Amino acid sequence: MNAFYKDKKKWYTEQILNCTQSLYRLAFGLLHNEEDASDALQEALCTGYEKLDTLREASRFRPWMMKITANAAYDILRQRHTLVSLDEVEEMAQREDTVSRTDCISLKEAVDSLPSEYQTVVILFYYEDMTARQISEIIGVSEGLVRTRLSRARQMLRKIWKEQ
Amino acid sequence: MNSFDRKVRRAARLETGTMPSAVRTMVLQTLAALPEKPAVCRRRRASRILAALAAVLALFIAVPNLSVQAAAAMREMPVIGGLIDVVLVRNYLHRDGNHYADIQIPQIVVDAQDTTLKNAVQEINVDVEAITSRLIQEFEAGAAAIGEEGHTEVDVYYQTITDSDTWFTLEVLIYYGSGSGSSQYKYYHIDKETGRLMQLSDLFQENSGYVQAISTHIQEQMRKQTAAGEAVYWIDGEMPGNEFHWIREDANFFFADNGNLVIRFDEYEVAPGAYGCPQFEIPREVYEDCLREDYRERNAQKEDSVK
Repeated sequence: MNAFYKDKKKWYTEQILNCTQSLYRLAFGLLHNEEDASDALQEALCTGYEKLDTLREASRFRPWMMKITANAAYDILRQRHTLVSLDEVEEMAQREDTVSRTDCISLKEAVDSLPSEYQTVVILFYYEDMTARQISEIIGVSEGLVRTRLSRARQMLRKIWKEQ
Repeated sequence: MNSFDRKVRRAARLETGTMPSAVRTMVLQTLAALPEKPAVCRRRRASRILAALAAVLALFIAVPNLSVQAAAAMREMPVIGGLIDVVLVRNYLHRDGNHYADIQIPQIVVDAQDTTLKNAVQEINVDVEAITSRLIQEFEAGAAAIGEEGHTEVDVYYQTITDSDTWFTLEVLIYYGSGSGSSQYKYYHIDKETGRLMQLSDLFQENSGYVQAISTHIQEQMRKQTAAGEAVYWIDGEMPGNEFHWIREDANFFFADNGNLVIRFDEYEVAPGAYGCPQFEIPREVYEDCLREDYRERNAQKEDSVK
């Protein structure tokens, strides 16, 4: 058994602290809401620890944890029943308006303006340096669909984002 | 990957963002509350915890200085046993709409009769006090200057990594956030047999080549992880001008449970911020020939005890 596993709590805590930002970015990318993203992250932290014995290779911790976080976020999305509040509609409208009127926006603003299914693949591909295959494993869609979404997202980003 | 993809990835690395401090606090609290062995964990809705935290931490809370004895008496669990103890003597907390600080100030305590460890312990305590005082001053000055125009965050946490018959290591984690965030680890080591404060170079013979041996091994690990798609490191042309070649002679390190050396880098030192503070466990055979004689013997003793 790997020596790091001897003290599982300590080992798990260290691994999580090394990837918390990535996990939160993924949850927020899927949910667009700080409280929901925080709930998803907390659920993922508990689930990951409960299932730690099922992790076969310590080096696979990050993608394994990303998958658990994505599942926790999807559970929250399902609970929402795809209902979007009026506040969120207003916020999205403001966001799109801002993007259309601005010539020079940050990458984050450009990514935020993409439809949510594209945001997730963009975050995992560009911010987390993952391959299409790894992304497909994490968000549970085919590799082909990931490539299609990436291609469309790339086209949209080319139009709205210019490096500053 | 085309040139546009490379351009976006480069921009993404520079644009790391900061996790809200309330979420960071939730993460630390959730991790701290985990049982010692994986089991069904108690869930609390994080958003409710955040609301409660916001109420508790509203405005400004400063825990008054405690005497070491009082702090030791108040703590629920012993942090470590043996001759050395670490106690939280002060916890500086600040939270308002824009600025957040959670700065833990520990002190190491040894038996008053222990003349071997006294000096090293005092040196660490003075250094920790100086660092945390400076961070508090900088945080307060920064918060006053920025006001409601931006966000700042400073967190300091500590834990005991090793407390054996012969070795003690205290880890201090410092997190700064302002626009983007970065983490930094500081390690304090005491050789309990000699009472000396130790750095990485103190373990090795002069001109033994340990920097090269360890650096080469780390590069191999980096290449393997990169090839497997597990991580990205700044080697082999990935980040011209800022590539990793050698560890510092006084690089951050600690010992894993099996006795192997672990080298830890700061955030952004060798990899994009998304990979946190990377650490590499170095098998003993990589550096054993470079060790000073007395530490080589101790390593052998460690191996016996592991078996």
